[in-house]
Amino acid sequence: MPENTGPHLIRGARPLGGDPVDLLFVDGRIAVIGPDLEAPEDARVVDATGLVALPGLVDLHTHLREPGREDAETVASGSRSAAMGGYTSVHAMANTDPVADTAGVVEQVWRLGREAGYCDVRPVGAVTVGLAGQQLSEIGAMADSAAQVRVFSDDGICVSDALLMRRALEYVKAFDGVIAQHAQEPRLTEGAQMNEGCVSDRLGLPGWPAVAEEAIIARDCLLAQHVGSRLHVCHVSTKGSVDIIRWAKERGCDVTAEVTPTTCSSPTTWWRATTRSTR
Amino acid sequence: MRHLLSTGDLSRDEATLILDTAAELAQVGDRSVKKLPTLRGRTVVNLFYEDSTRTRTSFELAAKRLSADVINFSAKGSSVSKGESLKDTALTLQAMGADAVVIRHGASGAAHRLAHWVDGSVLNAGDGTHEHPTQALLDAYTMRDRLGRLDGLRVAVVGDILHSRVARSNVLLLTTLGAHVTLVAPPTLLPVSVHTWPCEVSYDLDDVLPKSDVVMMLRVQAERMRDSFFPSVREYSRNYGLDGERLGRMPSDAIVMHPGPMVRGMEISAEVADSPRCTVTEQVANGVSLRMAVLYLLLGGS
Repeated sequence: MPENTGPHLIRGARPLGGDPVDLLFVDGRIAVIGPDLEAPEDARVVDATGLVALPGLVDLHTHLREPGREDAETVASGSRSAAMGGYTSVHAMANTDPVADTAGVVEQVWRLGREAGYCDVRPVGAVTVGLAGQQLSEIGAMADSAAQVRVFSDDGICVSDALLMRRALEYVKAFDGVIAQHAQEPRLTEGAQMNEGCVSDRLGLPGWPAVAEEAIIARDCLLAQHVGSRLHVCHVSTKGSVDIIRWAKERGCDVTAEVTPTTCSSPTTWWRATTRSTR
Repeated sequence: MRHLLSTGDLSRDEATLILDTAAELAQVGDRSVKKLPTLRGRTVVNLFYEDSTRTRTSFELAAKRLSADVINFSAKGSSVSKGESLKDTALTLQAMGADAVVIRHGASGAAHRLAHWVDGSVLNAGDGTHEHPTQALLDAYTMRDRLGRLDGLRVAVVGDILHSRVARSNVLLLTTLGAHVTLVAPPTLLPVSVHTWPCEVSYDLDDVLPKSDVVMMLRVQAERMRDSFFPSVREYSRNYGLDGERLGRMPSDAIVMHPGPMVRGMEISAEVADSPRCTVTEQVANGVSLRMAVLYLLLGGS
């Protein structure tokens, strides 16, 4: 991220929701925290009365869509939104066109982030070539590139082959990387349109069973622990998944997970509310 | 009642009114001139995205017997095959002044969507694996016609429940009308939440048959075998097919129903299909009267 020019004095902010204090920033870092600080002559003073001060947030899972779908989003537009929301670092998922499976593509995304200058843009590298789940992409080259990729994911597509997942988990240990998995057993979700349960059965829509997510999470936690690597689970959506991740953490597995608002909303409730509206 | 999208939307009184109206209109079919002027000047569009002989012909005949103008619009060879969306097709038909649209579509919920786009009535003639309300209504009509009642009637529905819109519509309608439904299938062909449905479930056809007044056999597609829903046609047929011997273990006045098309040798033997206790052709005949009744009631004929 480009350096901020000149000192900044933030007045009356509440760090982590605590008591109001002043914060003096010099060279982009916090220099002093305390009450009623004196403003240096060249400082820009910002009144933050009533606001909470937090460390810069990190988003592990964004889609900046560039290259390929600049009509939907660009690195510049997405990272600008992130900065407005308090994020100082975003990870850009690999399902671009072309896929971010080579050093060239991840360096392009990283460079676009630098040029935009809103926040750190950290490209996520694809685990497999073209997200096809057949062979490992050049993970090492992406790690060694200017982008220094550390998170790898075929997001949107599950690395369903257990052996390939094991190899990927092992391979990223060399540079302290992490594999972020889109947990979806593909055979159990063929043609699936909504959560499998009483609503999908009633509507006759092919169901997506919770076990399709949970089985992959359980498998990957065991694999990660077996090879001593790090696993991250993308957009967890079931209670069972949370139970499995809690269990894995308790037995020492190095696993993290994320949750999104969209995967927590309930189309089932929506269906019940609208189903009789057209009589 | 403006649309007919799901039998779950029908109260007992509404469903009974449809059946009673169908019984009156059935008498038209016995006359030499099988036509009423009721819907003269009204336009009914048959919008069929899936192949269908029986249902489309039945709706066409029903509308014509009520003197409506009928337009048959099939997806093949139309603007749909050029990539037109359901919504644009619907708006086109709307602009032409369709009073009712009868839709058959491969996607569950298509009729529901259509009902939001057009001013006229929408009749669901089968949407994906969701519902097929007029089939359930004609089935109920046939049961009442043959056995004299629906209240307390014991109905077994046998076969591919999971993929059946006929089963879904029947469970809802027959329950509303006071019948007791038992679904019979291998566990793979039942929805996972079937225990929440207002019916009984059994995996054992031989146990259910002696206690049933009606057995409704559903078509089972052989290609389900490839997706591992059952091991082989022979095993399915042995456990869940209806043959003469099994029919003999049913009460003497029990009837055999089938929404068609039948797969002889799979879910039903030729002997049973051709037996006088099998109501397949009656169901087809009743289907016309029933669809006349629905069109009449929805289009406010008087």
